[in-house]
Amino acid sequence: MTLWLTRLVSIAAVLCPQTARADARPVPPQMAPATEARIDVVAARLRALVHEPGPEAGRVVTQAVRGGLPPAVLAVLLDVLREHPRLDLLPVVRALASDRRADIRGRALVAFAELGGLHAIAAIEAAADDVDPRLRQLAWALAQRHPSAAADELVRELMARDARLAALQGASS
Amino acid sequence: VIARLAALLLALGSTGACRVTAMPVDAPAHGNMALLAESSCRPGAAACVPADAEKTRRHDPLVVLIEERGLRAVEPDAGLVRWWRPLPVVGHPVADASTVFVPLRGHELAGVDRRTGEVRFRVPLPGEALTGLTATGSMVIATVVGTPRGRSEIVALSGADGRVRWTRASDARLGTPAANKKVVWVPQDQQVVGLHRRTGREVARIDLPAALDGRSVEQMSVQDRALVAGGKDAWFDVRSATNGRGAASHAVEPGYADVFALRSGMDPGHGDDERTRMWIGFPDDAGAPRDAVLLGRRAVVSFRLGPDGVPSRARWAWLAEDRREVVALDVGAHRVSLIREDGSLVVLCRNTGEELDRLSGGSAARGALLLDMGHTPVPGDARRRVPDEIVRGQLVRVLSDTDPRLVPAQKLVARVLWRADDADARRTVRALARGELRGEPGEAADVLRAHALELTRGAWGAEAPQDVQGVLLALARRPSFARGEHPVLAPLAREVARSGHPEMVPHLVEHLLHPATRDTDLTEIASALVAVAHPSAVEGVATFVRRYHADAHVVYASRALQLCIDYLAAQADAEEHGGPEAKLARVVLEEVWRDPFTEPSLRAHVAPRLPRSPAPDTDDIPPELPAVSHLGL
Repeated sequence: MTLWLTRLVSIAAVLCPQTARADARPVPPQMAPATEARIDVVAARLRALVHEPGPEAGRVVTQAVRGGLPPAVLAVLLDVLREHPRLDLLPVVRALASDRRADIRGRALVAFAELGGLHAIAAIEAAADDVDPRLRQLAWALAQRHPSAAADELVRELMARDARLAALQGASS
Repeated sequence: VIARLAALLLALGSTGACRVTAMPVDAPAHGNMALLAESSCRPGAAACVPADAEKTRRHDPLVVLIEERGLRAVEPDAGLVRWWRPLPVVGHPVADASTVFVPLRGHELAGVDRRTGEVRFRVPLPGEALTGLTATGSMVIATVVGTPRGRSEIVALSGADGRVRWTRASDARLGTPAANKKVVWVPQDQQVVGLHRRTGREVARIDLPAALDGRSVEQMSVQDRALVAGGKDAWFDVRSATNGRGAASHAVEPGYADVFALRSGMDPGHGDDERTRMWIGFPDDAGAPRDAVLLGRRAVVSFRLGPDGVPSRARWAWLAEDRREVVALDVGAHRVSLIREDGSLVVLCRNTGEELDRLSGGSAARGALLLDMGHTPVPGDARRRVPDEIVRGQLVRVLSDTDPRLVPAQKLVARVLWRADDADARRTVRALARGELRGEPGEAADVLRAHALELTRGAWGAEAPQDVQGVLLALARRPSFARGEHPVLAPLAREVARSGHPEMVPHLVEHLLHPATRDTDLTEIASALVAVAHPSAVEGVATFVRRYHADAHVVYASRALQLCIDYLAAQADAEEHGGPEAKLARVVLEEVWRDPFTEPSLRAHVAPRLPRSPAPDTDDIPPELPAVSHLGL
């Protein structure tokens, strides 16, 4: 289990190295230092809210994400949600699974899959259909972490369609 | 020798050179205000003059002005009064090659020599009131009501002396007849009856209950090969119905002007309603776009009419410089002739609207019969087209005039501007809808604003339905690795912007929010949403802006976010929408401006677009930080 989790984190790191660690991100162009400082504050607050039980915390997080947050904050939030999956934040995770940034999408799908069961299958299916090859690679990793007959079928179909990924996985195994 | 003579005679006969009959059969009827069918000739094409037009061109053009005290005939080429005759005219005179037939007060009909003005005959008409007249080679046909034998009667009189040749009674209400060489066509409620011209024997009967949407046929029009039965703003093309080329039933989008006068059984004479009328041209191909000319009192607008009866591209517009109205319009093959209420004549080039001639009037005219006008080609006119920006200027001039009498013409102008593939043209209509143009108080401005609002809520452009369907199908495809779908959206988005169909907007929004949409496509999609400006996209665009306003990568990858801000600003400004969409747009703009995480260049873009609030002095982050504060910080 720990091995797969490590692989997932490494794939996420490949997807977006600058957001793999919140404190390692570059400053976006023209971003005011005061704003940059607030990213850490907001990320820390969101992390605390995710750990906070009760619907009110979930509502605040949902509202914050709906209003829009910098990718660095979203990355932190999704990493926390991967570690502490919350079903009441499913809409947040699903919304971020269609973000334009592949790194956010990848993190969201990982967090989505961590909810288990049908959510994991839906996350694998979404990753397998993604136009970004790195996300399709993530589908394979998610299927290994959340094994099921449906996940196996999805991966089989993916490998049949994506020769490059099939070759890559064949070489690595 | 006999064989050679026979061959010569046959050749002469086939070219029409030995034709004895010189009477034209297409005499203009009812002051030329009614629908006139025409051949497929394009103005300026010298080789396509219809045979009948060629025949009528043997006669000098003549303008017969209907004045309060009589008739005045003017030679437009020379600018001279040819004759004046004190006759109590009621109804609409008609003419053939030699005679002007004039309905008179007291239910009489006079035959006036076209050349000299001499009254050849003056005879009583049967019945109590005249419905309509038509002249056809040596005969004049009248439909009347209130006869002892029945409700209505068709009377054929000699064009030479006014003697009755034949009559036919009818229980049904009759309309204005028309005739060709052998047959007189008479509208009879929802039927058209064909009568032999010489004997009055019935030779044809056509049922049209569905063709005109249940309305009565008011008028027949025969010219060249066209036989048209019309009522108000709809008509039935008998030729198309019989040869199967194109649809037979047609209608003009209502609300601008009638094509056919509504007689309701009696000819009321030249009335006020004739000063707002639409002329339609008929091409050979019934499915092809038609030329149309709208007379709207002081304005004349030439435009194309789509097969769906909706006005499309404007060709030119003319506006009288003073307050006098136009009382008669004649559209010839090459020229458009206008008679104004002071009796003056204005001749315009049919192709360009350029003023070719002007003849000052003598006394007030309430109508006119224009004979053999407009068939002389305009030198250098062939293939000329008025540049779009000039036409737009002419249209805006019509639209900007505060004269309330121009409302029908202005509604049409707004319609064609909205259908133009030109963003500037659309902006004019939006300005009208918002009250930025014609913002003055008054009923006319209110009517125009309401019309513009209705237009801006719908599609713009003039796309064919099958093209729209094709674009919709292409837009319905989403990027998918599994299905191998990688749609190229930029051309589709441009197509949406061009056609402006609201049903395409949800697809655009979905592509805007789809993570796999390319950055270049994103810009085109946002541009299309700005162009279409439909409020249904507000929610999706708001989601997009909220989601990415703090993402520098997305902000700099394309112009989509800036364009989405433009779209929201336009929606927030749209007072007419005043609903949840406008409110949401305002909220999102405000949020994005206030959010400390908003990418600075985007905030600078938002700042001047904040609706109905004082423009911020600075682009700096405002002191309040709601995005942070709502997290309890």
